[in-house]
Amino acid sequence: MASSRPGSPWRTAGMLVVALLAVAGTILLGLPNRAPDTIRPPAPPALAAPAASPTRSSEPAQATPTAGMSRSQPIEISIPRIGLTAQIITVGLDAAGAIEVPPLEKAQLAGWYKLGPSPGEIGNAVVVGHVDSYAMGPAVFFHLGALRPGDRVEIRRQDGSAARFLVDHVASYPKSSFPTDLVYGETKGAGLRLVTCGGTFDETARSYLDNVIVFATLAV
Amino acid sequence: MLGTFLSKMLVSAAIGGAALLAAGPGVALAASPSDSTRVNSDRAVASTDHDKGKDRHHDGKGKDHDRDGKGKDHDRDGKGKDHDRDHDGKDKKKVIIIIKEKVIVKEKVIVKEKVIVKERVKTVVPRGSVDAGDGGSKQSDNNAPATLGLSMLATATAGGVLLLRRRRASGSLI
Repeated sequence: MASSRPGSPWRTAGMLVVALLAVAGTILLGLPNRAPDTIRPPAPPALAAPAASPTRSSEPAQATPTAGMSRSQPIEISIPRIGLTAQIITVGLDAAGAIEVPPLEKAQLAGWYKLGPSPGEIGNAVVVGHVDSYAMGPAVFFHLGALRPGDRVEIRRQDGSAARFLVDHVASYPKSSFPTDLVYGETKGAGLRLVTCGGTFDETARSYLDNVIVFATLAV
Repeated sequence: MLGTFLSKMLVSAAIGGAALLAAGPGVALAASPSDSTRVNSDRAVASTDHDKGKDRHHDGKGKDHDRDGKGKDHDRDGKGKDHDRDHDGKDKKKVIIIIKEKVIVKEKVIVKEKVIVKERVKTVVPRGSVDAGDGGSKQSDNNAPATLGLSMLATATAGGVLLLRRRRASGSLI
């Protein structure tokens, strides 16, 4: 009886279109959780943190002793290879005793760890920066993993001088075994450590699983 | 008695005076080696070969003077002494210069030591790793398909509602 009604083929076609739209819409809504990421920060070779063997070949070479520079706050970092020029702010420790990072809404800024040497001084100066943020997508150190040995890093200082470093090594370490001694430990010369996040992003913990670290030495 | 005594005193005073006059150059010569000894001791600090040679010359001169008190020798010695005195004068200046140089060198060493010693900043080591990213770069690209999917679902819902209303309406109107 119903099939004898006029206009029923159009109704059937309409129903089909509606059903197709509903299915396609549902699929597209579900895609973000399963689709591979199109933008990924460049990844350096992953390394497990050394326990107590500083002579491994994969580790950065010991900095050669240099006279070093006097203490002065860094104000700007530039890395020509990845086209980076960014302002530097100072960071310290949070309530838990972990190193602070610049706020996520200012992810275009790098942060100098003020409780250690300044860039150019004897010892390892540490500069941290975000790899990305919801506020701006790729952040200040997004391309840090693309650096290679010999690349130049220049840091302008408040006293008007510039500390020029050469990259020795770039590596990725699991956060669970962060190489504290290699980053903050004492050296004979003036070193620089650039640190950001990398590796797989843990959706549950809302955090990256690795740290990408650039090891550099003051150019003589 | 008194006259004899006075005359003896006068004679002895005259002899003593003559002896002093005769001994005068000798006393002067005797003073000279002591000066040269002092200079030599200064020179010993400088310790050059030239100074050693002069020490030997001074010693020989002293011997000559002790050996004989002849005027001839005195003249020769006197000439030599004048020459030595000039020479000694130069040597003294040299010694002073050498000492000054030593002081300067010492100052330089101290300055170098000051340059080498540098202060070292003691780092306060933080705990754990660095948390520098919230996955924002991944989220940005996935917004477009989600928006499209949502709009397709909305269209399908609207289309379904229209179709159902038309079906009901078609029964009554047509």
